[in-house]
Amino acid sequence: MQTEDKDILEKFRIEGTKQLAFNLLIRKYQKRVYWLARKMVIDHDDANDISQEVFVKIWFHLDEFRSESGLFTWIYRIASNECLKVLKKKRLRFFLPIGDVEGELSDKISSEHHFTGDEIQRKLQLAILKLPEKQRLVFNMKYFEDITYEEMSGILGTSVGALKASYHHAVQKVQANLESGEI
Amino acid sequence: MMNINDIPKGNQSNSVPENFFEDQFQSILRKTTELENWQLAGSKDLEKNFQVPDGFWLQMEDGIRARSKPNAKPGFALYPRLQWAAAVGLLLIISIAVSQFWNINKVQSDNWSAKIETASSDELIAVLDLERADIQELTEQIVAKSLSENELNIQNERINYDEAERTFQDLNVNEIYENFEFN
Repeated sequence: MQTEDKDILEKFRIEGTKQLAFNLLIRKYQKRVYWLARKMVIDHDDANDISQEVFVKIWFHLDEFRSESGLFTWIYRIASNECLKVLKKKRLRFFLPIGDVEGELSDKISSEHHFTGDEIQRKLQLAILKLPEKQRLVFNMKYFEDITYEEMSGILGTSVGALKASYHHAVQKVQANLESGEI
Repeated sequence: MMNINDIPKGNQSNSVPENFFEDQFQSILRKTTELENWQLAGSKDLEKNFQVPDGFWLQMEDGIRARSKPNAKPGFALYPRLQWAAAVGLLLIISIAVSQFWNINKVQSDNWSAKIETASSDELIAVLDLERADIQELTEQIVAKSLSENELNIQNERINYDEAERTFQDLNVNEIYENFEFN
């Protein structure tokens, strides 16, 4: 049974149970954070680095968390920012335009080592990779994780209306990419 | 100019069809619902298609705990790829420094070789004198000190030109040649 966020936060504020609370928090959220990162950066090592960085930040800053938003929203906000930061670093490191980073990620999807899905799933991933990074985040959260627009609004700091429009545009682009036969 | 009475009313030929706005609304709603619920068959369960190494979740937990300890190592020490990047960067800096040092020395020695070949003997002597200016200065200081210690106040002594002329006349040229070596 998973511990409630409220209990985790209470335990974290007491020095004697701080480490226990952190362990519970890792157990509860590590997979969700990892999979969010993995869908964005595709590479396992990058996703692992991002996940660890997210939890280290949580450890050092959870005291400052004021419960204005849910713990899950706060963690996802950190994870989303880390994903975007890593993708930006990748671009800067190799002085590549956005399309080339997508090309690198597409190559990883195409290799057996990183992705073992069937042809439909592979094509869907390649179509998603053609979306702009923030739109890809919105698409992944809504399509794969069924996160509500209201929660997404808290995570990404964007209005619900803008997120709906973004998701609908993303779906249309993905459909168009799949139908174009270029993938 | 068009009068308000000229605008067609009721069911005239160019009026808005009945239920036009309702149809438009329903069409947009249908399209929005389609986009909202769009999905490819079997493509939502993405996580089983990405490979994760055995025992990875526990390894990740250990990694997070190691990095979140108060006396944790600096961040880069825990990223193997950053360590590589640091090592490569260091090697690059060292090789650039060595090549620059070698290049400067080569340019300098080339410059000196060219100068020596083209310079006149007077210019070379001037260069040597300039190079040894400190030695000359030091020698003068030692001589001045030695003279003052022996209370030989020759600075204020007026030269008696008649006496000097007699001394020169008495000099035996052969003696000078015998006592000095000439190159």
